[in-house]
Parts: sequence; C-alpha cells; structure tokens
Amino acid sequence: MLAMLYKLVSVLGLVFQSLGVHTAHPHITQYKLLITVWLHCFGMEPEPAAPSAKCKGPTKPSFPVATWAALGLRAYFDVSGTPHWLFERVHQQLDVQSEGGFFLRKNQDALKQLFRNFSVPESDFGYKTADREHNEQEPWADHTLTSRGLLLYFFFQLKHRRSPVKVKAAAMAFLQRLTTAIFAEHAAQASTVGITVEDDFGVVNRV
Amino acid sequence: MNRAFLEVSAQGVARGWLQVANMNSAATELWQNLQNKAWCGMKITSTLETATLQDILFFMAYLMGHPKERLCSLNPYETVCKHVLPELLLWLGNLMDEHAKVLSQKPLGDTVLPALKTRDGKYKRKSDEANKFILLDKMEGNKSTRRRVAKTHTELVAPCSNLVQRESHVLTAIYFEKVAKEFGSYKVKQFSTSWDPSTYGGANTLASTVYSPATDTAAYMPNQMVRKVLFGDLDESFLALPKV
Repeated sequence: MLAMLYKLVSVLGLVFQSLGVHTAHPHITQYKLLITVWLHCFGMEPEPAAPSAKCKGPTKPSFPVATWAALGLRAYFDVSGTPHWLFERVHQQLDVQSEGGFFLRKNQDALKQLFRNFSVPESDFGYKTADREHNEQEPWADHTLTSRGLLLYFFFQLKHRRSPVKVKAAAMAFLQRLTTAIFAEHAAQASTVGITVEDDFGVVNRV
Repeated sequence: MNRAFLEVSAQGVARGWLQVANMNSAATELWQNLQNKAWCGMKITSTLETATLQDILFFMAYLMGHPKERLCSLNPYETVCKHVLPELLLWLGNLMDEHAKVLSQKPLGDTVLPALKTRDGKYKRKSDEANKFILLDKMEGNKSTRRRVAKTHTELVAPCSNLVQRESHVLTAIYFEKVAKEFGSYKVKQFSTSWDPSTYGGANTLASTVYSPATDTAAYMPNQMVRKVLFGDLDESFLALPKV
C-alpha cells in the first residue's frame, strides 16, 4: 500500500514537472500539490499558510511620526492628531549651554508664563518628569512642544537674558529658516492672516 | 474698529504691514531704526510696503527682547507685539501642523535623523524613540548576530543601548506570560518535562519542553545557552571528591 502511494506521488510529481511546475524545492511542491488535490477531492480546503515576516509591515511606534529632514525636526502625533515636536532636536541645534531637559526644568515657570501671555495653552508645554505616569494621550517619554509652543520657545530664547548672543542669533536664524521652509512647502498658495494692533490713541484695531 | 488683513505671498512678502505700522507711530519708528541698527547681528532689510515675514518675526523678536522700550511716548511691545504675535503664532502653528501631517505619510525609515548626543559628545540615554524603531525595522532581516549588527548602527542609537538584548527579554516575557496564562487557566501544578542538551551553531544549548497530561497541554521553554561549567559554579563538596 505504501509502495503504491509512493509510486503515485512520484508519477504525479513527474506530471506536475512536465506541466512546468518548478520551484527551488520540487519535491515539496509536488507533495503540497498532491495534498491540495486530495483535499479538494474530499471537499476540504488546505489550511492557509502563516504570514511571513515580510508581510507584517514595518516596525513602527504606536503613534504616527513625522520627520522634517531639512530642518532636523521630528514630531510625534498624539491621539487627537496634533503634532508634538521633539524639543531635544531643536534645542541641540541652538547650541545652548545646558541640556534640553535641564533647561526646560529650570525655565518651566517662565515658559509657562510666556505661554499664558501669548494665549498658548499650557498643555502645549510637554515637559516630562521622571516620575510621570503613563499617558495614553502622549505615550512617549521625550520632551515635546506643539507647533505654537515651539515657535514661542524661539522667542523665549530671544528674550532670555542669560542666553548669549550666539544662541539668540541661532534661534532667530532657525525661526527664519523654519518660516521660509513652511512657505517653500506651501508655495502654491498664498496665505492671509488677520492681526490686531493698537494705534497711537490706544484704540485696538483689527488689521 | 478698523478691519484689514495681512496677506503673505508664497515668497513670504506680507502686504498690509504698512497699514499696521501707520496706525502705530512707535512701530514705524522702530522699523526704521532696525533698518539701520543691527540686533543679534541682523537688520531689517525690507521696507514697510514690501515687508517680509522674516523681518516681521525679527521685529517681534526685538520687541520680546525689549519689552520696556518706549518710542513716541508708546510702548511698542504692549501696543503691537502683544496683539500681533498670538495671531501670527496661531497661523504659523497651523501651517506647521498641516505640513507635519503631510510628512507623517512618508515611511519612517526613509528620513533618518542622527542619534542625539550631549554636549560632551556622549549618546543621550533616552531620546527620540523613533530611531530605535527604525533600527529594529532595519534589522528585521538579521536573524543571527543581531546584537553585533545593532552595535554598528551608531548613527541611529547608542552602541550601548542593548536594544536587541531588551527586545529578546521582552519577547521572552511575553511568551512566558502566554504560557503561564495557558497553564494557569487549568491550575496545573504537575508537569512532565523532557530536555535535549545539544549543540546548535557551535553553542551548547538546552532545548526543553513541559507537558501536562492532565490538560493535554504542552509548551516549549525558551532555549538556554549553556556555558561551560567552571570550578566556581560547583559546590565545595563536589570539588573534594576528585581529590579523594
């Protein structure tokens, strides 16, 4: 019986080969096809193969990430889809004397005050303490600032008394590069912004 | 109340800034001053009629740095900067957000940023998790010598980050959790084990399984690399035996 089965497999294998079924492992293919035909005869479907490692897709974090390579910036997106820019990446480019985390810890009160003065929500200031609890909204450990917070950080460096002139110049240059890059990316459309200013008589004007 | 708009062209030229400056004589005077006087090594290079956004931001930055300066008996920080800057920030922030959303569509591995370092040139211990994911993705094909290969990607993470080691720890922990859950649901306390001490790739490896006849459940235990037994590993009572 076994000998007959073996012969049958061999013959069928030759038939498949003559039909042009060739792989790196012809015997495996022959047996696989034979089993498939056999299962079909009994009205059964073969078990689907396990997904290979290549089908799994790239390894990536649980939140979307944006990388602005031209400016060396990276942003993580929170649950609501708001980008939060990595503070360390910006801080490093300004060549500030102190490390990013230390700078934020030392100046967090002044920065929060500045945020309040310019109508930026305090939640935009993403300083992460060592003993923080896991936050589903922002599931990362890095210090981050929202777009508005990041822009205001440059202004903070420019007004900060202890910032040396080279840091102020770097902050101004980065801010100008950033705005140029924004307009280069949005070159197709011009933008309009309504602004407010106080005139010589103290009257507030919507410009 | 007057109403007008600041229209910024694709080249960054802001139309309508002259209107703003004409309302506030301090702003006009300061703009002219900054055209002649440098601050932080920079000057305003455009005129009020064709002011560029870069110059407007520089103007705002100067006001931020000089909040008490008075010109024409007015404080331009209080009368201009405090009103204009929040709206400029909101508008530019929205443009940045939009651009970030476009950038997030690109695959993570396409745009690599270098690993962050301290001022002393040392790698930062915890910063920019995205680089770690890029590295893990790059190493997906390397099934063996992952640890050694990971240490060579110093442009992404620190060579001492032990990323691959941690990855295998996490995988083992997850596997143990699954096994414990499977056996724990039956409250099994007795197992049959079988093991195969052998050599795989030149390393002594212990491959073992556990089986519970009561529930007819089996599991592979994680393979263990068995190093050579050293004298220090043995109990002193065993060391005395060969001497006898």
